[in-house]
Amino acid sequence: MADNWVRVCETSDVDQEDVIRFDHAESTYAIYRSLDDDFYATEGLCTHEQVHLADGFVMDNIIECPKHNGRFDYTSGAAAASPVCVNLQTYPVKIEGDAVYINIPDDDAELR
Amino acid sequence: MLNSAEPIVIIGAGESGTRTALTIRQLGWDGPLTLIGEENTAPYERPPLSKQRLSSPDSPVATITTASELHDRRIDFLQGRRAVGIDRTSQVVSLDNDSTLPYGQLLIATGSRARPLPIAGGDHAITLRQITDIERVLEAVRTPRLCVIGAGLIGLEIAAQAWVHGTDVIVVEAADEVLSRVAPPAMASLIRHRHERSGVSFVLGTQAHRIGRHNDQYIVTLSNGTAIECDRVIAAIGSIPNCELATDAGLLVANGIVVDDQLRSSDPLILSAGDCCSFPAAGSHVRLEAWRNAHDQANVAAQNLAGSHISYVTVPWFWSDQYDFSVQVVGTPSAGATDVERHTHDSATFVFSLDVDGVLVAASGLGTGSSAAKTIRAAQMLIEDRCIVDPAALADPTVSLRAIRKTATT
Ligand SMILES: Cc1cc2nc3c(=O)[nH]c(=O)nc-3n(C[C@H](O)[C@H](O)[C@H](O)COP(=O)(O)OP(=O)(O)OC[C@H]3O[C@@H](n4cnc5c(N)ncnc54)[C@H](O)[C@@H]3O)c2cc1C
Ligand code: FES
Repeated sequence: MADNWVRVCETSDVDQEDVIRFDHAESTYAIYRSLDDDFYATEGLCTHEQVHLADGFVMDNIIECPKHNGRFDYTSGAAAASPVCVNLQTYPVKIEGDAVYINIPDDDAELR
Repeated sequence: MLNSAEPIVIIGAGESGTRTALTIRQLGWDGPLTLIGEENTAPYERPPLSKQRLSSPDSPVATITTASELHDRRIDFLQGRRAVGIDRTSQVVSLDNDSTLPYGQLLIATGSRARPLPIAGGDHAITLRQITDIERVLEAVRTPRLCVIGAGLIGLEIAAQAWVHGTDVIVVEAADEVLSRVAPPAMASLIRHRHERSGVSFVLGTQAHRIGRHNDQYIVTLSNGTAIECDRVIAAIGSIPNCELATDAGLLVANGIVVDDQLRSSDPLILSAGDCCSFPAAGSHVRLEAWRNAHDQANVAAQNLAGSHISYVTVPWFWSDQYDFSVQVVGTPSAGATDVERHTHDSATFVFSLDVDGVLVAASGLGTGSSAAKTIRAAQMLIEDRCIVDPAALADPTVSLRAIRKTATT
């Protein structure tokens, strides 16, 4: 699968321990910044009901869904608390200068 | 961990009972485990019944789990079976097919049922609690003229869905404002205005007196003497906890099965969780009818059934979806002495309730989709920590609640 690095935002667009929404090619993603200033990316919608995780709450390595408070580890995508049971897809992130990029494989962008 | 040979029996396969069963297995408890559910279906989520189920009737039922998943986890699921008695001396539950089940520990998670309308002709009114009610409710929200009695969460969600179907809706409420039990006045009136802008009308501070029927039409006579002609009547006036089994077994019951902080009833071998239990909170006992409470109590009940001694501590929280907006309320708005409003640039509105000492006791948020959620979640932490919060900061949409939390005092 060919790399497909997509520019998301400036690092300053995401607060520490927070998450923003990023829409690209008819798909939606969630971009996280940890307390240690590391950036992560997952698919944008909760796997329980299709709710934007960017409206959720970040605590340590956990994103808590805004709807029913299901939890995922956003660094690995693993479902961490019910009612969610299906893991999130994660995406590689890189920082160049002040810009945040995520790697979205081409076919993935088509699938979602 | 407790002796795994002693069977655990759970009565009620709703949110609380089913989650408890699943969690007990996740904890590694491997003894005999039975889940008794009187509804003839796999366990399902109730909240969508007044939301997605009414807007998109063909959408799949939101199941909590499947019969095969329960089977795989060796949970003996008795679908369509009703528990009819508890004998505490011999520790057995009797079922509606004349069989009995021995228990080592028992969880009563029987939930609640829709409160019937206690007026003449009240049985003409349709209520919504279970999946088998849906067909009648769906038909009612698609008639030309619908009268909804009760402006609580479920009544308003039904009104919003009826509006989607182009129905004329009139809502009758005994209190002077909608949602008076659950939301602060400023938030309640905002929600009512949103309904009124859509064309839903309200008759507040007025009780329905009687319902008469003429052919396929109904006449709802009100305490102020006026009459409403309509094609269907829906009553959404709260719910009654299903405590009869507990009462008959001699357990302490007072608006719910009375439990301690570990969710144990007056018999330590019997626990209770969800809509049917009354638990200690803020110096008294409360009973909540909220999904998260049922879900979180299941988690604690499961651990305690498996041998732990964990307390259930909570700040009440619920959400409601109406039109394109979602409301979230955390804490106890009625405990507030002053309300502070915050309006954000993306047109979300918040009402923060502070008690006489300036401690944040509740926060309510309304916005499109889940836009109010982040702030409400941060407010929950401030409420949990009993923080004294500066009202000016709460009113300022440029100050995040996370930032407020860093500087707040307790
Ligand atoms: C239409 C509707 C919309 C809602 N929307 C929201 C919302 O938006 N937000 C929110 O926070 N909450 C909402 N709620 C509330 C939430 O659904 C309840 O708080 C939750 O379902 C309670 O779970 P429970 O397990 O305690 O009870 P229940 O879900 O009622 O489950 C109890 C089960 O026990 C069964 N049972 C009872 N007696 C027996 C017996 N003797 N033998 C065997 N089985 C028995 C019942 O049939 C039922 O299946 C809504 C409720 C309804 C009805
Ligand atoms: S939608 Fe995310 S937990 Fe339900």
